[in-house]
Amino acid sequence: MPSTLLQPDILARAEALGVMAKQVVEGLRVGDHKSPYRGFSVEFVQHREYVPGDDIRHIDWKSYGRSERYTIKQYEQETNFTAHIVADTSNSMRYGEGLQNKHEYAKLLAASLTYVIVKQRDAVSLRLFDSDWRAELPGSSQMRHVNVVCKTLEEAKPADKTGTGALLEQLAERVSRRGIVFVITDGFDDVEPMLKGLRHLRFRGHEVVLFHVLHRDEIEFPLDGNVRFIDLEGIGQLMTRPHMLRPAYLRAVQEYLKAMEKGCDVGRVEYVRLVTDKPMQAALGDYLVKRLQISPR
Amino acid sequence: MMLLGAAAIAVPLALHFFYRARYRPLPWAAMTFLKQAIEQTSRRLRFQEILLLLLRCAVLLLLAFAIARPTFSGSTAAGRGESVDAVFVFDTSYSMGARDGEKSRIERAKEAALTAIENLPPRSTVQIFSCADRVAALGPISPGNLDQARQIVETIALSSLTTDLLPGITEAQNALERGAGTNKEVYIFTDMQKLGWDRQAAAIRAKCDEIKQRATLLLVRCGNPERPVRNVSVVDISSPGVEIPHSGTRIPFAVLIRNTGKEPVRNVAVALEVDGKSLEKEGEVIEVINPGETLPVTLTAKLDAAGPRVVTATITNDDLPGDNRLDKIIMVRDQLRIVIVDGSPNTRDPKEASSHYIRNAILPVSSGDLDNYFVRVTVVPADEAGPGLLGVCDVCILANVPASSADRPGIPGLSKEFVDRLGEYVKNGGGLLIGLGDNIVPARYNQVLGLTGANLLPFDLEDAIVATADKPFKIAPDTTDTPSYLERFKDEPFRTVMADVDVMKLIGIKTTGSPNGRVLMRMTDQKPFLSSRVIGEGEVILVAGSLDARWSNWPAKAGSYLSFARMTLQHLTGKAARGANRIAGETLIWNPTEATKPFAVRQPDGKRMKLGKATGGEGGKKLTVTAADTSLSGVYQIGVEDEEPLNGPRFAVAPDLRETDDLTSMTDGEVEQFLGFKPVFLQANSANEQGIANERSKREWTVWVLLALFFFVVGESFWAWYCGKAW
Repeated sequence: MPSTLLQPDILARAEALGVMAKQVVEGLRVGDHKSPYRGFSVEFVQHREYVPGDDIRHIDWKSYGRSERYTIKQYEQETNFTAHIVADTSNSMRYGEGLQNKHEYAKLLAASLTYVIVKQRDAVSLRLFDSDWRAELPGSSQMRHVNVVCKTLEEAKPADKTGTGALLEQLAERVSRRGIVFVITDGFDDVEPMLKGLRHLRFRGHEVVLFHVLHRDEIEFPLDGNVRFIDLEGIGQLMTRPHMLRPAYLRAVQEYLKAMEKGCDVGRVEYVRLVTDKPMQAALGDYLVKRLQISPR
Repeated sequence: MMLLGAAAIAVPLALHFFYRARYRPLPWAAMTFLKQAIEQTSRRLRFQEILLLLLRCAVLLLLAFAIARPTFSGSTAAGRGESVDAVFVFDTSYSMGARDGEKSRIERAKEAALTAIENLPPRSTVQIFSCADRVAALGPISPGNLDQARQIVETIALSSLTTDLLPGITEAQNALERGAGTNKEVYIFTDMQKLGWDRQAAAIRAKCDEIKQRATLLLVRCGNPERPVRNVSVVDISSPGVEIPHSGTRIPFAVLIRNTGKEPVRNVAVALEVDGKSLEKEGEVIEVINPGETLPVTLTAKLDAAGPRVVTATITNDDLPGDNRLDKIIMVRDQLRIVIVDGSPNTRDPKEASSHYIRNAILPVSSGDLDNYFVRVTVVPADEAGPGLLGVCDVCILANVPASSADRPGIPGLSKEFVDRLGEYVKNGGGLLIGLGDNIVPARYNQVLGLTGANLLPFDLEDAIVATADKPFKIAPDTTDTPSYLERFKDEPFRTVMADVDVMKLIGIKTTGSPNGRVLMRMTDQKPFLSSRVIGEGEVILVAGSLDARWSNWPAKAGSYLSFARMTLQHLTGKAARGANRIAGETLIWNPTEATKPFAVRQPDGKRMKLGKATGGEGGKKLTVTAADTSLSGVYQIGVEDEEPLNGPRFAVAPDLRETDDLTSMTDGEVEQFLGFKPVFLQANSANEQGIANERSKREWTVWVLLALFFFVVGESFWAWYCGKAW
């Protein structure tokens, strides 16, 4: 039975666009992605002078004939990459109704990404977290892995508080092979530790994409009347009249979003804000188009 | 009602707190930003909330106020629509009878009261009181019976009493206590005469202040402020000379009239009649009497029969009828019996007898006419003076009589029996004149007739004082005590003739230690010369000198001595009628001889009032019948209840002339200053209805409350919209 997370319309568009690693990633297989390991691949990169220890099979004899100097011919290797999808399943992701529920939106996004990436023969690993890791699937590029990912996502229930920063730090330490890390979260956590974790991943050579999933209410705060706000992560409740607070709230949110964007920009983390009222097809499509446009390929 | 409405402010308060439980729960993720927003705005929010709450409370409070139809004066003042507990106090002093326009003041008061009743809202009550210097509750029996209240108002009658508003105001305050309603009005219908406010000023001020706290005080001015009252009073009826009224004579009376108003009164007709016999009435028209002027008008009256007679003086042609009539009862005698006890009789030379001059002064007729003269004088030596003499005696004179035979060896004095009877005689209304002389031993006099004895002397006697031949003692008529029957000695010609008397010797008078005695006239060196003491119904006159010519030349000064003798006789014999002449408000007292049946009194208006049975009678006390209600001037008669007509004694009750001594009315400003606050002033006239209605509506500030309510509602709506349109 096909997973509900794999919606054909979304996947059709995403698949067509593909996922292009913006940076060179490491891969186990020959794929569409450039490898930093220059060797015997098909695409020539440069010559360099032979030094003792180099394999003599790589000496460019034609060049020797012309210049009587031993040069080594270097090729750029196209390789498969591993995409690490890291999704937030903390309680704060529960906000929103139906398809606009942030958790559901994040799951759909993760599943879609997985499908698209696997389809182009790249590997995907999945990690779900709240205050700790709740599920971890190792990287695989086989199609059946998509089902495993989808099943895992479907079984995921939001729980506990968010601990994004520390967990990203852990991830950066654990994943030695460079790849692309998709972090899907609402980011309702301490900003600085979270940015630090993202920067750490970046420092380890990963391409890092932060999908910042937010509900429209959380950005525009269009609430009215008497409201008792119950904290989804269980730190209490507040009774107030939200319309009275709107200006102050919007100021606080805008400051936060700017801090996030600026932090990501400084750390060369790609920041993608997704508002859940935007259909996934359009949101993912837009992202992939944009990514394709700026890809060095 | 208003408090009930005000309690409604509990509603927004309750909602304010209740609505905390009515918050819509919403699971929320972005709590951090919410907290930041609240931290930044909580103070402003709280301010907005409190302001909104206050506005809503104010709206409800104002609504409650508006429903209660609040008023400006007094917490219990009524608006136009709510029932009123009204208390009417009518000033029934006789100045309210003044006709200072087309209507009299009391007529205006009645009209104003009827208008006030007409304008009372449904379910109102009325309690009516009349008040002069005392208060009477007139009804109605059921305060809600306004028809009965109207009838009572129409039958209100004036008294002959003075104004004192305190009793009425006090009773009005008590009536307010009894009223069950919350809206109270006290109407005082008065001419605002200054006297009524001044008599007990502090107490009136305090009472009005208390009334103000609980009711609206409305002072209805019944006088015409543009027309001063022209008033002439009959002040007194007196005998201008020294005539003693006796039957069969026509004697002159001085009718004293006074203009107490501020304008001259012209063509005042003065008339005098006896026992209501108008045919024998004598009258005179006074062309003009100026403000403040007092005029004696001498008119004669024919006294036909002996006994108490009612002499009535009336005047006409002024604005205030209450003091235009004065009744006075005089005792008319067939004969006047006088006993002179002579301490030094002298049959050989009567001029040397101590009784000689006083006897001749009493009998100013020739010896041939003595039998026809109404005064009968009996002169007896002291040793012949027995108690039986006093039984048929109107005045007793002791002329140089020792107190007892033991005082002066060889000179007979008063017997003990006579002295004992003399005490009783005076107490029962007899007159006693004591003249001193050489036979008197002061210590013995004090012992026998003084405090330790018969207790008849006004003061204790001291030793005799002798003047030098070249410097005799002089009588000082200016020292005459007033009021007294001798006060005419202060005026000419009596003054001069009295001052001309040389006194060579007199007995000292110890004026201390006898509170009942009264010095009537002194010498120029302030030694007492004439003194008196009222004992029971009688009176004792003591002359510190002698009644003969031994100690002074007084008997030779006929103008002085005769006048003194006649005035004293007139005074002592007139005493019998004195209890019968009262002033309105005073109690009538009669001592009947038997009291088996109840008594009644007929009032001047013809009404008979039951008095019940006489009191006393036990232990030697006299039987006494009293009639306390004498608010009307005129002639009262007491008698046995069954008799028709009543046959008891008559009493003449005069109006209380203090009422018209000063007819000044206080202005609104003066009353306000007097009270210390501004009551509601109304003028009793045809516009009274409108005045009361205006006053009630003026007191209401509902319109202003509604206006404020409107603004508050608008403010609340705006603020609620600004704060987010709703809770």
